[in-house]
Amino acid sequence: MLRYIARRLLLTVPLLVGISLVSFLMMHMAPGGPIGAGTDLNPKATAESRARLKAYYGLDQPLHVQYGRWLGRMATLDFGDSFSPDGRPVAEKIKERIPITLTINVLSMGLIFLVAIPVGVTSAVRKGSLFDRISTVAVFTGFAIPTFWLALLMMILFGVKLGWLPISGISSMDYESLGAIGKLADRSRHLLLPVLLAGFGGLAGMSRYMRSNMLEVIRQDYVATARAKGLPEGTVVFRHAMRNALLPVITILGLAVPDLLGGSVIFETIFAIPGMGQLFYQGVMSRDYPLIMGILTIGAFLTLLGNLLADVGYALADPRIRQG
Amino acid sequence: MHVLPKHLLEKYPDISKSPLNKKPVGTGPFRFVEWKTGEKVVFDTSPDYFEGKPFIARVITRVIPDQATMFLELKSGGVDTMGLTPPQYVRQTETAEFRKSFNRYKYTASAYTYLGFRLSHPFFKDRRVRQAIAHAVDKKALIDGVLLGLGQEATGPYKPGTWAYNPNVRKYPHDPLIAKALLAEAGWKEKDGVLVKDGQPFEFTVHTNAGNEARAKTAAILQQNLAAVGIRMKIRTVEWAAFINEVIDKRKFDAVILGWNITPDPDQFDIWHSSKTGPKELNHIGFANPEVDRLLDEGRSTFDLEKRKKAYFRFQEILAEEQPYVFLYVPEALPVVHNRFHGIVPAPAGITYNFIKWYVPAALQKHRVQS
Repeated sequence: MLRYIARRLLLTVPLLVGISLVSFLMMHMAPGGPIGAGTDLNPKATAESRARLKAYYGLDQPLHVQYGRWLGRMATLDFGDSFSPDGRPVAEKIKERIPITLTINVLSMGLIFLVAIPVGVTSAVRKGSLFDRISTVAVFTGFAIPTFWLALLMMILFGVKLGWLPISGISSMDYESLGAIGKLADRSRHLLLPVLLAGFGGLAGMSRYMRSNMLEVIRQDYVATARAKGLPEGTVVFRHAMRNALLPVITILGLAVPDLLGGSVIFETIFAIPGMGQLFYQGVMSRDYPLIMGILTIGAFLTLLGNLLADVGYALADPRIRQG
Repeated sequence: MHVLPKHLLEKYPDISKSPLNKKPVGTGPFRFVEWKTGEKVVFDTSPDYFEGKPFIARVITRVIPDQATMFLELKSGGVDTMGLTPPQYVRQTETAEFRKSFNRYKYTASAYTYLGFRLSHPFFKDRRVRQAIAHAVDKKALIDGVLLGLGQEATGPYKPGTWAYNPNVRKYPHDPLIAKALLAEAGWKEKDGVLVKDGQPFEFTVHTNAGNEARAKTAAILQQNLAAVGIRMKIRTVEWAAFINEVIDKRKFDAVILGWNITPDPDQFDIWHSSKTGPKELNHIGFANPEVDRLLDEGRSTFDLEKRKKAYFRFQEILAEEQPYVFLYVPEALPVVHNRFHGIVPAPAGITYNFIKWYVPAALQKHRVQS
């Protein structure tokens, strides 16, 4: 097992280099460049100032030199400085966005699991029942409704009409002067709508997945055996069937690891949340190469890590794989 | 030119590493306090401001990327002032409830939108064609459709009502018949509803940047206007960086819909002088007129207001005659401010020019700065 993990970890290195190379080339193929944001259509930007900016950021070097420099820095885990006017280190910029994005994603994912698993199991056990039909319609409604539209409706209802919740942002104007509990309450009020809406939109996938897994398992012979032994229905469903139906969820969890740090641009734009999605979007729009590369590399690393974790977790949970 | 304070910068041989990049200093009425990236920027009054300390103690600029969210924040009290879009101004702020708490203002914005021709294009080389298009364009329909009436027709690169603006240049009233006559004079003959010359149909593409709703609507209305005189116009919207680098800089366009800000000083050298047609320079349509060159040189080399005015008036006459751009419209700026703020005196320059004199009467104060 350990040898397997070590081999997989070693394999991620060339994979990461490959991914970063492709990302780097794609990024440079996109029209425009980092200095365009400040100099395009700007009467004050002369050809000389453009050339000096390019030299300052090392953009006058051939691509392979630029990539080599980036890779060299990455080897020491140095993400470089952002090309945006503040010129701050990329690592710092990413670090200050992670907590809010991670919080929202963990909460909404927790919410999804908390609701979707019972809903999926129940609708599988009572397939075709009224509950099954209603929950199916409900989760697909959540999946189909454009979130930005629903978000606006919720803001109008809870923010403007009722005045219960703040409209957007992550903290009130007097946040700094609040105590610890006040801060927590204020932050929770701000995050309530985004988390609920993100959860609502994600229910469909998870609950349908759970339902079909459960349907599969419930048809198995050993479930029939358990029932034939005269076990109560609850024991059959939860102890015998559900545990096996939950196995593939490990894969889903593994695949979800990179999503934890990937923010949704639409969500963050609507709710004015300074998260990873907006950071990346702005980075792409202003062609902030070090920032784009930094976020892509982290995303690639987390994806590979998530896959590895899923495989390992699966092996631990399922004896058939462990032995085979 | 920004203020570069020696006592703060001399410690840093590499000026780009100076903390001033994140914590700027200046000489204005407010001082920088804090910047939370993607969230807000906070300013407090500067007691040393030469015109006196502003009455409002703290100003917070919030970052809200979405227009609709911003408007809801306004209504729920999360922000006190913002710029409205024309639909918000006309349709969403007319309610008595809204008017009870907010004051809306309206003044001419310092910007204009234009349809620019690449002048080396075989169709647009001919001045009569450009003039015909100017006649074909229904500026009033544009203002009604795009700005819901909140704007005025542009006739040149200056803001109506300012000293450099020449109100008496040649105008092009919307008249498809004149347009057709001019096009016929230029050799274009109508065939099955489309103009044809030397076997070539009058068909071109207009480029504009993606994500600008006003320009997209403008393009759609222009398309109809031109179809009415037998010109087929296709529309392509391109992401900003690609638009600038692949379309504008490489001169790979027939025509563009774009806009310029109108600066307080009327110098237009960078946009219209024939020496500014190189790559990355702003005369991207390739306009070259010796008299305009001379006038622009004259206008920027004297402080004599009368002489400058004369030069710029003539400059506008030539532009109006030549129609290298069809100047389309100057929109209105539509700020809205919560009505607990007093001391706002609207002027042609807008409302923020006397911002330091704005105040909230004690009884109406909502936020207080703890000191």
